[in-house]
Amino acid sequence: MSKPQTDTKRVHSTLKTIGKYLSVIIDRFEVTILSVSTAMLAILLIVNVISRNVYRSIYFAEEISKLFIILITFTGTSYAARKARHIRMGAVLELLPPKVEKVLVILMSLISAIVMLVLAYYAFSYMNNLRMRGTKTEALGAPYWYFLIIAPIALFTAGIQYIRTVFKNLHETDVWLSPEQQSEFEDEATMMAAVMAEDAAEKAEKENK
Amino acid sequence: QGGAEAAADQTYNVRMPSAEAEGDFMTVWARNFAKFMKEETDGRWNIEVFPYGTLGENRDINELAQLGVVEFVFTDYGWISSFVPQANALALHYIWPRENLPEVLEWVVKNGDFMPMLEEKFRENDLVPLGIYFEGWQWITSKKPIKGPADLVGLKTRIMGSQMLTRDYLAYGIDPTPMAYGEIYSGLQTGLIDAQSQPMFANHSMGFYEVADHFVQLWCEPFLGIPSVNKAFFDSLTAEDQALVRNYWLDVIAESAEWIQGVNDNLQQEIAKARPVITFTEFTDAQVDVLREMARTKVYPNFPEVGGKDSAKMLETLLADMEKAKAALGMK
Amino acid sequence: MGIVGLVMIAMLLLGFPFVITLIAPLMVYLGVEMPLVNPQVIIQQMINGFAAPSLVCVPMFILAANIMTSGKAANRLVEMIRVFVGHIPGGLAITTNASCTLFGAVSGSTQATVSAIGGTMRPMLLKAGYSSSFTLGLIINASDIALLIPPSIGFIVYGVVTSTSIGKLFLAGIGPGILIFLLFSIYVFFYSKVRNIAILDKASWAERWQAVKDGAPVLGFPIIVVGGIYAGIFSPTEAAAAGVAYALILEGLVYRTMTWKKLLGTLLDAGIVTGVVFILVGSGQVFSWMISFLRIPQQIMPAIIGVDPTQMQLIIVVVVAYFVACMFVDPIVAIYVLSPIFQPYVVSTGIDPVFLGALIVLQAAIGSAPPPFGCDIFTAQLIFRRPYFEVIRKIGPFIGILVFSTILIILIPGIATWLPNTAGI
Ligand code: NA
Ligand code: NA
Repeated sequence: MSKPQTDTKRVHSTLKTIGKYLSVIIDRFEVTILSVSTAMLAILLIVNVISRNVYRSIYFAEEISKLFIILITFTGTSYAARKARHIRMGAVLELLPPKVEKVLVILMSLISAIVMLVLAYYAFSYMNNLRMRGTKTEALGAPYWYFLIIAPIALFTAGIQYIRTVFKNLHETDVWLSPEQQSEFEDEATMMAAVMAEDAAEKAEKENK
Repeated sequence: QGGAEAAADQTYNVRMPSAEAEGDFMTVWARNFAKFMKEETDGRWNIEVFPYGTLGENRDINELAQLGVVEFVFTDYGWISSFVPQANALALHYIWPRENLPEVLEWVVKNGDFMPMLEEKFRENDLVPLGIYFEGWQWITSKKPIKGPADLVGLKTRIMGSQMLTRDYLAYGIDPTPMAYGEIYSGLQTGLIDAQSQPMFANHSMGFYEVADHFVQLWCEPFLGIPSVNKAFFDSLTAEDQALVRNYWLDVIAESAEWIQGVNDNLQQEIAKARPVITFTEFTDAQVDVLREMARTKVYPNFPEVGGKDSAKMLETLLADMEKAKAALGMK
Repeated sequence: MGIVGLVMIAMLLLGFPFVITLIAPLMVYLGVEMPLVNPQVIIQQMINGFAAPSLVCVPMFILAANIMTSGKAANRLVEMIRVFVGHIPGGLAITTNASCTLFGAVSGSTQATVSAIGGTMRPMLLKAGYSSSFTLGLIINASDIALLIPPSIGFIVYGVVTSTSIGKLFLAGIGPGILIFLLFSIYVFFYSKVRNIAILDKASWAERWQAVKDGAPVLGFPIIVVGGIYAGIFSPTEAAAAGVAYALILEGLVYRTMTWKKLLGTLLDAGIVTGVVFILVGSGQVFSWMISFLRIPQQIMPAIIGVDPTQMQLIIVVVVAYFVACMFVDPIVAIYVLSPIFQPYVVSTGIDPVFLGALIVLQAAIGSAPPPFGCDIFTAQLIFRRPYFEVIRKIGPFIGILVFSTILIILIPGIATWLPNTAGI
């Protein structure tokens, strides 16, 4: 009986490792898209202003900025699902006993997961529809479906993050609003803690002098 | 394959979004169509018209018609071209005659070989075109005076963001400046753009004449509307209903052109009265020849790049249709 | 559709993410009640909603404000005001108020102002003896002024979706912005006097001169952004990107607070905030599309306002509609989604579109603070990590003043329209 048990354990830990790597990959992917697209959007707009005033407008600037906005929005949606950054009203949840809160959060995450996955399916169908029709963008004449590839991917990963949230809450005693971050306040909390630690260190340094 | 599925007494509650505001060409004629269908069928057909913006932007309403979410749609040549690139032929400058344009257009649509080819391309995109409609020549409204082709060079002009039109205007040295429709007024006001291109009724309804002093007619581009219908829906109609729809749109090509010309002339007078400083300049034949030559040498040869598969043949057919039309109408 | 609304409110109260709240009931409704409509339309309208050219300014305004909040600009601005008014009763509260007004000239949104000025002022206010709730109420309501003082995302979005001159709209916001600033200042003056809250020492002229010198570069921001729009160098939607460039120069070269690492952080954060707001804009668009598709405005409008409404009735309907809508969704979403529905109808009765724009943006700003869902409450919760009920406890008088201002502006439209009409643009 002991052998199968170690097997499941090994499988379990392998899965965990894969999960961890996947999680890191998704994080890098999303962080890169979000920061690079935001930066590129700013650069594109500024370059277009300069270009228009010096020579002539970049006729496809608007189209490319649309691409960046689509990238930012869908990727941001997925990121926010992973890090509990989606806007919500926590007032009622705050008042509930932790056990009820937990059940509610599991239920909400389950519904959120279904919604995101169904949306991912719609997005895929829509994208595929445009691909088969050969719909083009107006200015560049590029296949429009290129612009939409991120939509099904990011909506799918967002759905996965909500499923992870369900499991996280089943496994742990605390209530988790997302798989990688317990509540929407945590980010700022760790940030503030870091700032305070920095201040303390500075003070200590001064006192030493 | 008409008539296979539908019963003759089938009632229809269908939708027709338009790419123009209430009171403008597309919305008015979509409403006329709705009224006609209702009366002709004793209320069996009920078409709801949605003016600009209520169901989405141009791209969206075309897609909605493709998906069958709406049954009919009324948009223009600039937008339909991102779905049917061959329709870009209609956006080529100086292919349409300045004289008797509505008559030529009517002949081409009714008798020419171009329409069947266009319908084939539309059908590949789940749409059926019902005709091509003249909404008036595009006017350039400018803050700077424009006396001749030389004044166009470097003129920052807002045009529709279409690939074909961008190339058309670039050929004259104009700087095509894409910009959201809602930003044009402010753009002209602050001098961000020098000019923009729009048919007369839009110049009036959007108030562009308040912020531009010079109206210029290059005779290069008639603004054309194309109503279409979802293919599967259309094919499911009885042969009688199909004929009713098709014939309505064929019958009103001349009538609608006459209507819009009257409207445009009135609005031009109103604009002239509202702001007497505005100058209206029409390019002379000699000036038009200069621009036409630029379009022919710089744009036409590259058309197949934009128009895609079969587009060269389609352009050829369209031009031949026009010659036939002119001959039939006794024009030079 | 009525049931859809009730389900949405129930889900909001339970604490569902807003995006799910908006989209889930619509998905179910579309599937059950409109089975013939292809559900791909949800994605199409979502993208149509948030990828509109007029909204490109949003991530740029967020980024510019992020850069300045992470550096010294916000602090310098506050300091510049504090040295002049800190010593009168309510001086710090008035400083907060004035800083929000002035930062409004730097930022396009209320949330950016909450985080920039709130982050700087809250510790000072608490130290001076103001209660936490009062501090929060002051910050989230004074931030409304930022949406009225140009540049403003609210006016840009309203102007683009309704084709109204953004130049005029910007000017129309200044009068109401100053009115609210004055009324708030009077309120906090008496509030502080009654409670005998300690006042600061008067700053010397040398200190004042130093603060002005330090803070002056921040004022280059509105000059560049607003000036560039009026000079035709860039469009209102591009202006925010010019603001990003200026903010980078300011924090990178003048104040030298910006590092590459910090820059990456600001970019990421601007991207996340944009994504979170834009997916809501998109979901709101789906909602608005379905309402249009089902022709609900045509059915409901006559029932609410009768067949031949007076201008005043229409104005009241608009004001109430935006006020209520903004309690539930982000002001940008409300302006973007509601304006195309209301504006043509209202303007056709002869109401000045610029005046209407000023009223609408004012309501959007006001609506961002009151419970249950004012988005500034959540911003404040996120930034200051205080419980919901503490944030909302003392906002009553502020909301009262804002409603009073609205009535005043409706009765005396000149407060908004005098400046744009006089400037003659
Ligand atoms: Na502002
Ligand atoms: Na606020």
